Amino acid sequence: MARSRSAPLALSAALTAAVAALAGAGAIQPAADGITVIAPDGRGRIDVVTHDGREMIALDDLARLFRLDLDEDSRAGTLSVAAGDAVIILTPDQPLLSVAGRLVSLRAPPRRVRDRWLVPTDFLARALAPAYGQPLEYRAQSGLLIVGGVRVPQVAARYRSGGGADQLRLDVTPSTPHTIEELPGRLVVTFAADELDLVRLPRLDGALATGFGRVADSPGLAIDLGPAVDSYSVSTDPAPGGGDTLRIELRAARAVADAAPGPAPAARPGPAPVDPLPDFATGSALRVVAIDPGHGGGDAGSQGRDGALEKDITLGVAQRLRAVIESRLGLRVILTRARDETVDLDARAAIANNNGADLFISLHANASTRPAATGAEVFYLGIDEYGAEAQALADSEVQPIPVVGGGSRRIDPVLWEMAQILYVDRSALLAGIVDAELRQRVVMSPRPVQQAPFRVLVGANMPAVLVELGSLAHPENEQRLTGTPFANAVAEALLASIQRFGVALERGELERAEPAGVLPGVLPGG
Amino acid sequence: MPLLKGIAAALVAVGLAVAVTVVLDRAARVPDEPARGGGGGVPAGATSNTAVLFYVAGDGTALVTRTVEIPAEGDPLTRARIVAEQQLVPPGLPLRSAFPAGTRLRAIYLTAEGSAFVDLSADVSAAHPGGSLDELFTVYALVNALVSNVQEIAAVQILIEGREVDTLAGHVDLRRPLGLAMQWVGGIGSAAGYEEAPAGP
Repeated sequence: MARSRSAPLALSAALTAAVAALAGAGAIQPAADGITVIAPDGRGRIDVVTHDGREMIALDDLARLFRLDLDEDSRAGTLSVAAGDAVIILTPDQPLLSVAGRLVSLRAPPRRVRDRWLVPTDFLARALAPAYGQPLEYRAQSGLLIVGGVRVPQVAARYRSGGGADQLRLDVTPSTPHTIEELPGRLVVTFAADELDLVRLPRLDGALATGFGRVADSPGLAIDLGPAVDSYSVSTDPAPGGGDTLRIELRAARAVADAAPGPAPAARPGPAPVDPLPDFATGSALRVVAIDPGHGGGDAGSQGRDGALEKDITLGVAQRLRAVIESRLGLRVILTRARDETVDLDARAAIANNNGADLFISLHANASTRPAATGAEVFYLGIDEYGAEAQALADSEVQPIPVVGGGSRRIDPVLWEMAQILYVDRSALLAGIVDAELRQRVVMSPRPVQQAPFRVLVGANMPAVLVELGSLAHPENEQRLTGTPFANAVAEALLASIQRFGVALERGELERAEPAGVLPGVLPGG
Repeated sequence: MPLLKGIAAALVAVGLAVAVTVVLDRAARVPDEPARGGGGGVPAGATSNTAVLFYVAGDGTALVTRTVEIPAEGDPLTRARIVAEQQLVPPGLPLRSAFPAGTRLRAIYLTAEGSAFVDLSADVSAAHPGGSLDELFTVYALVNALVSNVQEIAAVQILIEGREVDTLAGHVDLRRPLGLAMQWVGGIGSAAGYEEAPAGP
């Protein structure tokens, strides 16, 4: 069998040139759009040509992108395509082919045109995907081929205008956390994704929304706001098929006055000052952040009267927070649980410790029914409960030791289950910052910062706080805590807290700060 | 009359033994249904002492105290049992108990080092509404009541159904005895102190 390994091609240029040459022969016509390949390590493009009325792609194109081995048997007239251990065998002009020993039919037979093999585009889903070592998803409608675990939610947008209140509806599949950022004259919806598959892009040219489009170099969509916009509100509801429906309602001034009583709309977007984000890419004190969504699995935590569960709220906020930290600070984020599962308290601290987290934030929701006790609270570890030995450790001077990859760690012979003892001062600093950022966005408890012997904190080998977001037991609070605006507000507050804490560490502010418990803005505890 | 003296001495000894047995038995056993009312309970004519108990304030943001009369008991174990039982009894409005309904005291033990081990029924965990602040109130209502009212107790560890537990509802570390923590008492808009209202028998 004559073996002719495919030569690497500079895909677009080479294939386009080849297609042009073939087109001159009248056999093949370039199709209007190609296929965009989105993979964890980058993007690529596969040109699509039309042959005998069918959209086809060239196998040598796929071979270069996916490191396939093409082995042609000239006597039998067949072609073997090796994808790792799996082999696909094609025969010219036969729509049946063998994929790892199984027969698969294509919509059109492979064609051998001069020295190139062409296959119909459904070869991607029906033959290559089952044989390839990683997940492959071909979306014919949008011309996307998604490789591996790349997150590319499909977004279909609709716009409805009238009555002084316009609504932009985004159907997002699968469900993907998002944040909404107010910028001067525009709203930006950013998804926790690597890319967006935008299948419908309406034209917005009304009085309230004057434009709508993608944000460059970001999985985001921007809505340009006209001068008549007075306020907006956002709601998110689950949609069939595992997606979300996000509704952004823009209101003119009169519509707000006429609207029935309801949740208070957000203020009109204005040119709010935005602190420049520090460059965390190099030389930062923070590289990894551990987010702990409280409870989970069989432990639902507290429960609202309308059925909202603490475990769901904490997970939702955690996922939103992860998205904004990763996209805007560029830090690595570890979730102690990424789904509804039981994780015991020791394991949560261990996950943070084993991943070298520099910060630990545990998220919870309270259960008090009393209105005065429904605000947010920030806790850090109280060490009085751990005895004189713990107090002595907390007071000891331990020199930081540089570690591989930069940064430093305090090393001291402390029982692992009491590792937090060494970080109480830093945790107090963090708690004060979190309080300051939260109170700009959400209602705080009369006891905003406290120390307590919390089990999940004591084993954390890094600065750690536990944030109670509010009380689920109060009906109005339950509705608020389960809404997207609240989750966004908390995520923004914690994002800003992490940023400020990192800057404070960089500047050595801890050394200048008062002892734990009497930091400015921090109520003494313990 | 030596015989009569001997009989009298024997009767006194038996009487003392019975009295000691009754006291020890009361110390060890806990009734299933403690008295209701939260105001203490002292039989008419019996001597009493005051005890400070801890309840959740009307606004839910702190513990407040209520002073009650309890039977005078010199024995620390008995006094601890009475305080713990009274602490579990729901108070009248506007206060509320920090303990879930149905929580019972199963047993209480003291060590020579001043630690009390308080064994509660499973309801204290299973019926707990959750939330870290409410869990703190539950734990420290009991800890503070025992440490405040029984001089021999310096710290309290809560057991559930006879076993050590990590937490009641996922937050407060219960793996070791906890000491008095008055930061959960009053303090919000109350500079004068934490007494809610004196309540007598």
